[in-house]
Amino acid sequence: MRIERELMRGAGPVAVLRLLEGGERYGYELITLLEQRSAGVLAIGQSTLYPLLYNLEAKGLIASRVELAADNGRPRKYYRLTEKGKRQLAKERAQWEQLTLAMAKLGIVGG
Amino acid sequence: MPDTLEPSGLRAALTTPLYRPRLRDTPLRDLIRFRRTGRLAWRSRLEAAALPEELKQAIIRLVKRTRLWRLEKAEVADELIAHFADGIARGETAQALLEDFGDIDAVAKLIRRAKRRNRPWVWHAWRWSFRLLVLLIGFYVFAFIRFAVGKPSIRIDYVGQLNAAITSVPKQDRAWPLYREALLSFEANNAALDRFYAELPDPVAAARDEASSRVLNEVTPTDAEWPQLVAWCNENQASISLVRAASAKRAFGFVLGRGNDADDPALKWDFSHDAKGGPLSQGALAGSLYVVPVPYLNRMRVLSDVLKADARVATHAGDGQRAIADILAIIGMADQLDLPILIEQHMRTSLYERALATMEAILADRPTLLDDARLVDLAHRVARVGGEAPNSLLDLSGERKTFLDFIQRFYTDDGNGGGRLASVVMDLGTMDVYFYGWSHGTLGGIPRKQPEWDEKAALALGAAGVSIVSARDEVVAEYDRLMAKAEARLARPLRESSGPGTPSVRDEVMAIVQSPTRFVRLMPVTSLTPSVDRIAERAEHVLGRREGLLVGIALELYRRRHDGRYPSTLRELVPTFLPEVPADRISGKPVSYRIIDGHPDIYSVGEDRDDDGGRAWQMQDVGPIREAVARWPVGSEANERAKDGDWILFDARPGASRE
Repeated sequence: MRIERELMRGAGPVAVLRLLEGGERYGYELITLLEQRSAGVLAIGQSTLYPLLYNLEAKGLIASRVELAADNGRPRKYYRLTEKGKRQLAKERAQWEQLTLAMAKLGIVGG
Repeated sequence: MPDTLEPSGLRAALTTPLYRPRLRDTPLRDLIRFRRTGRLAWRSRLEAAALPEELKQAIIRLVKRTRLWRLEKAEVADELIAHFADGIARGETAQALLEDFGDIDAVAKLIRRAKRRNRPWVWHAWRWSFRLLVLLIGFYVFAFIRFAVGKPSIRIDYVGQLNAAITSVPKQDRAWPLYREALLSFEANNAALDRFYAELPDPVAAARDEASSRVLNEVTPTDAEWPQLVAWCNENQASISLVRAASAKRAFGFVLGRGNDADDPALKWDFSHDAKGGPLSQGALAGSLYVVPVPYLNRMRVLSDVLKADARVATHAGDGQRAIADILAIIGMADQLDLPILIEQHMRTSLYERALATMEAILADRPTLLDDARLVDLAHRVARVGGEAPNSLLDLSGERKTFLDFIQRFYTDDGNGGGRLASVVMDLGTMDVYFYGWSHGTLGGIPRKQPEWDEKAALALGAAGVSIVSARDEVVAEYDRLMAKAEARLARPLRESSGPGTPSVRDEVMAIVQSPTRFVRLMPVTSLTPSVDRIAERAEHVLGRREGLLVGIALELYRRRHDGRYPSTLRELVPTFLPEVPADRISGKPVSYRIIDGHPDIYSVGEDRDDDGGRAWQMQDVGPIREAVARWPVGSEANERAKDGDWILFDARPGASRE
């Protein structure tokens, strides 16, 4: 299902922050996880991910480092959540919960 | 490329030949740390990566399109190499990876925007400063063009308006031709007073020609120069008679503007050429009320000095008729000076004061010089000098015309009262100026030093900025508001609108000057709003002296009918000799009255509102100055300490100061 662009604009960053909550990830890994764990709904285009990551990095919500990949020995950039990012994730989570609740009360979503 | 792949340290850096590409491909921050990382050589790494050619080309195209810094490009390239390598490793085809990736150009833009956000704050600050600078320059270019193309429209001939009233008077009823004839006859007849009119090398020195002024104004019968003065007055009675005849004319009749009565070589007036004979440049102000020459004013002052002197001589000789004729002539001259501009109104009040002071001196020095009938006639004439309020003597409507004339010459006109400052305002920095010599007949222009190109540029830039914020309608509205306040103050006795906390036009003008934003917007207002408070006080001085003189005349008439005795109170003069006891123009109560050394003294309590028994304020080493305590301060001036003393309105003691 194709999600409206405006909704993706709000969901994409928080989805990435959530995935990084579990530990460091690299770009391709994030794309794969987003598609898998959201059943394809939050399939951020590969071209969109990297600008999104750079924006989150500019805001100080994530940080990066380069390391030689263990599997292929090539340099790879890993991203991790910062303390600020953790706080932001918690805040976004609370907002999404409230939004979902409100939508449920309105009968837009089940539950 | 990771930071730690190459050996670090000074030895490694020094042993590496400079021609090896790694040095050139290493960021400066790594070189400073003695690390040859070669991080910038992303193309080499791309070449070495096991990626299909189409993916490599896509990476090259995208990285180039980002137009980022070299290190940023390298970082993006490395990330994309890793991304596509991961994709290939997961079994994706190059085609599928490219399709999933999306439009290269669009991605390049997004990546560029996002990477620039990561740049240091110094870069952002510089970027915003540059944008601001561009904006400012753009704004100024716009302002300058707007300023340069704006042209004023001179729609109203204000000089013509004033001249219309002047020329509507038949020539035989105009006084100026006779005054002119008198002035020329003085010059022709008398070498001793050539000092008044002769061409002196230094016009300023002529203005300080104290000697001739002293002879006319200060010499008394006890001075050595008295016989000289008497002889001169008697020899010049024909010329003095011309002055008296002129003063009886209906109107002054001086036609304003260049090329008219002001350009008179016989009187050494030339307003078309500067002091060196070159053309006088008035720029945008040429023909305006702002620069209209009124050179006759100084001559009228001189003529009034002559009449005063003649009145003194006549008084001493016992010729009351001649003395009265002189006084009435001075009053007539004052009446004629009705051009409604501040400088002329100042001269007008000055002449009234001279006439009243001269009459007071006669009553003091020779109280029996005039018979009762002449005294009564004189009292009636003096009573007609002004009314109750300062505006009965003053007309400043010409000041508003001068202001509007200035505005129409320096502001554009949108037809609805609006407009902006125009480039002709630059003329103000370059036009020649007039020089007025007080006792010197020659008036001409002094060429102003022309500004250098950088001064002109600075002036133009500043003026362009001002033109954005200085709106014609706002300037005119503010001027009108201030003038309405000033005129309202003139419409009643000043004591009713004075004191601490009272509104002051001067304070409001100063508030504009002290506010940078308001000053820029309202500059013409600060320069052209006349100083009304001073002229208003001068008008009050005249009205006060008038009251004093009327009481003085009434006291003299009373004395004559009561065996030389003065009344104990002024109420005894009412109604036979006075319709009512005049009010003290400062306190509002009846004027005060004392007999000092056997002579009556009429006075006001002065600005300190304290009755000092008729004691005038004295200036050290100078003596009493009567009007020094005749003040009606407003606004912030009202907080200043008042001088201690009374304002003497009439002093019948012989030889007392009349100033």
